[in-house]
Amino acid sequence: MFDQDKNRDEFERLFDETSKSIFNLGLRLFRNREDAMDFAQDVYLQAYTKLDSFQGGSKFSTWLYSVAMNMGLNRIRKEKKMTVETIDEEFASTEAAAADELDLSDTSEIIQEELLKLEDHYRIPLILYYFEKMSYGEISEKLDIKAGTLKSNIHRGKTILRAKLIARGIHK
Amino acid sequence: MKHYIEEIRQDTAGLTQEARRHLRECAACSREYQIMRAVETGIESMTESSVPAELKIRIFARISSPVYRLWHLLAAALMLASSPVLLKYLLTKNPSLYLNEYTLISLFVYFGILIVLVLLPLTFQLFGQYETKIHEIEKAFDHYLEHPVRNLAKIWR
Repeated sequence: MFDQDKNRDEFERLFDETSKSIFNLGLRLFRNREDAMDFAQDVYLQAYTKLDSFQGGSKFSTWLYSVAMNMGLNRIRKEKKMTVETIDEEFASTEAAAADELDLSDTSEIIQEELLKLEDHYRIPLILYYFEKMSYGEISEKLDIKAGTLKSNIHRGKTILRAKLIARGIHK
Repeated sequence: MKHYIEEIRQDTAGLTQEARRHLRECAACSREYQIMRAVETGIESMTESSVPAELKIRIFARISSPVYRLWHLLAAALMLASSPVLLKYLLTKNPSLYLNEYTLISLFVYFGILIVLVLLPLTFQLFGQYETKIHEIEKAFDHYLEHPVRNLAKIWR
């Protein structure tokens, strides 16, 4: 699909099409803009050197996202960020939220802000499961953690977000 | 009446038919379901930020830099190293060879071009590799220049 001399203009067009999704993947995985930029840079430089191996069987954006995801998760796995920690007592409450006190409209922004503040071992599985729509098996394999640990982390992460949502004033 | 709070908190998508029927009858479980769906929906619909312009500049600066392979450098180094040997051989084989000033100038220019050809790619490669670090040093330097008094006070302390 690509000429041997790696057409720069074509690569620039592909960059313009895909950079938003790749950069935001970096932001979701690494939380800060500088790390996300370093990550995206590595992805594109890697892609540029491997353009010859792109067979053209799928869309370039799909292929590139897959490459980026693998690179990101490999990095996270190597940095061993998926260790389980005990849940804070603050969030251990299992009481149901009181009715008629909560306004649940427009809570996405709160969730997304709080999600980025979560520790990696909660945040990344949540993002992979709910945003990237990966299965437990895929996530478990990519992050090299047991399925039970993964489910536990997802559950605890959601519990923390639930508590943050209630604490941040979704009251009427 | 059995409640399904824990099941709802585990995963709303995995609720049984019985649990879903229960939601229609139980205000507490229904509310919990709404809260957990708000959490899940918030993650599913994460918004995206715009891409910094600097990213494209960085990437294309690296891509556009001359790509020298190792064998290019080795070949240039070999030519450079072998040139005096060749020259000596020529002079030995041809004692009558007369090196006039033009020949000498040409030889100097030839060696000079070879040296530049070896040094230039090395410079580009090194500069590209350390471009980000150089940029960080520049930023740090600018920051210290902007706030000299504050930084001097820090150092003094």
